Amino acid sequence: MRERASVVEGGRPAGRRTVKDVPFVELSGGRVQGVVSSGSDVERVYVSFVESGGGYSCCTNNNRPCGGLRGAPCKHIHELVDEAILQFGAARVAAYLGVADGPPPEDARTLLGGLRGDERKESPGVVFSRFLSYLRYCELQARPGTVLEMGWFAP
Amino acid sequence: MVRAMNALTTLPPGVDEALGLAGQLDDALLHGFARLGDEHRDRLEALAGVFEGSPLGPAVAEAVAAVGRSEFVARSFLTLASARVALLGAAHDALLAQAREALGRPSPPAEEPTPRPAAGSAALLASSQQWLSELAIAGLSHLEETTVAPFAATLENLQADPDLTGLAALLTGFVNELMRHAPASKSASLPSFRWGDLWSAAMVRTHQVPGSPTFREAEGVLTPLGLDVQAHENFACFVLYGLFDDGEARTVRVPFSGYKVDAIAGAEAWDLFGDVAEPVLKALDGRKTLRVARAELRADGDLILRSPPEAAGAADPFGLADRLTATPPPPALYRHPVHIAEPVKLPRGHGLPIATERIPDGSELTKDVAGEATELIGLLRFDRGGWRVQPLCAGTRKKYAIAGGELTAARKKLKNRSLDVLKERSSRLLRGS
Repeated sequence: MRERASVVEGGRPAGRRTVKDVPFVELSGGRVQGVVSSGSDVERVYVSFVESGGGYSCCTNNNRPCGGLRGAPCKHIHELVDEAILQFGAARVAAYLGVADGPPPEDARTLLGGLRGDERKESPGVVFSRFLSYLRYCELQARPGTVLEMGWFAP
Repeated sequence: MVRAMNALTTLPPGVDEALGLAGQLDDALLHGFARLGDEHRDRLEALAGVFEGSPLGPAVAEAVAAVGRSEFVARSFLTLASARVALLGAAHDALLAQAREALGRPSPPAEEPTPRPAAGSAALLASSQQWLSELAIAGLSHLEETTVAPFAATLENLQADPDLTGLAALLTGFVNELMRHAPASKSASLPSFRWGDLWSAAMVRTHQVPGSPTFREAEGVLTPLGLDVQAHENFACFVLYGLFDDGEARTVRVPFSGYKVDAIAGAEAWDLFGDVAEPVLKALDGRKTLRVARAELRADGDLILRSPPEAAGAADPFGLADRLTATPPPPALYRHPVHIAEPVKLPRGHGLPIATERIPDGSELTKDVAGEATELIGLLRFDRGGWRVQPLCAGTRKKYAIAGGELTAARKKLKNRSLDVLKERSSRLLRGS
């Protein structure tokens, strides 16, 4: 008989993120995408993605191209993928990018090393606005009291 | 007490059947109502047969007939969800009665707060109902990222309305989980019973806006029993179970609830709850009681702290355990075995399995600590077709272990605080862009 389980484990982050360096990362539309802080300028962030098949992009939120892209994913994209692995686990990130064979890659270098793709030119607007709506979670107000519905979500 | 727990090895009559009938609907939900085969139709008709003669009977029969003719209206799915919720609600009542009889504990009456008119949220609720219907028509085993993504805008609006926190927290967790499994065709196994739970619970909650429980102001001494951690990527509900004495002793839940981002988890998530939470964590660490003033004692068993409590004397949860009381059951629409959390003190050799799925990473009260305890305070839970226990407090030779006792030490090790960093990023970027 199939087990009638209401509460299952799952959805725990694989490790602790460093939001100072990578404030936002998500798996969406076949891409690992997000926002990476500039190492040198506190006013600047990079909007980056790498997609299934290996296409990638990195530019500032004001749409200036990243100087680190020289025919291959830059360090921002590596940081982004490393944080994705911490958040979602290597196996899920690899599967999402279509690298499902073999053992899960241990870091971004291994994972990105197995992908071959070209630079994509895209406006950072969509990912950046998803980042802003992600930040909205820090401001949302909940009704005080036990939220009974959370009984289905063990940690 | 061991004999009392032995009384729980046989389920009350009807519970297994109710869970089985729910599973029939889950099969159709997974398969998709747009592609029901004869065997699914037969099973849905059997489900309708069970409701014959009950108030839901005619509506369930009509809904089953309609989906059988491939007429897919949201009302039919709402009715089918209500049927599943009614089955699980009946199972909840039977199981809770069994537990309380075994414990010799009277059941406090339930309060049924009057639902509020949907008014401004009516369109939002209808939109959620529509999306849930589409999920059922397509079938959860055919789930794609594109099935879920269009619901994002509605979900954002639900989250923005604090009166709809329960539904929004539920749907946010459900959506996250569906996304994790998409495309479902590539998933080895899908949690069908759980998804049946989440889908039907969300569906019935699109029907009305919950009312508020009544409360009175209270002050007294709170003895912590341990922490129940419930969380998904975007919401945390931490519930401290405790014995609250304001002249009369009773079991209370002290809840801390709020939205969060996925990057904030574990010990760090307590940053959401500020000054009021800090003394609570310190009391768990130091095995202290708390003096509570001007708190809100609700009829549903919640004790809402409005100001930081003060540390008081040494806590003795095991010494007070015979004063544990039952908390009131939820309103009828919200009853489900998953919400049973009956506080109990158990001796060694109680024989119940440990609900390991409810133990958070890093907890000092691990499965092993609970297994070796000389005595145990825990929450009696029901899942996977049987009773189990979620440990709160474990007696050991020296100091007892308590769920949440590790958090103060864990929080001292955190360096930069994610919430502060994100708020800083947010203000800088919103201003700069």
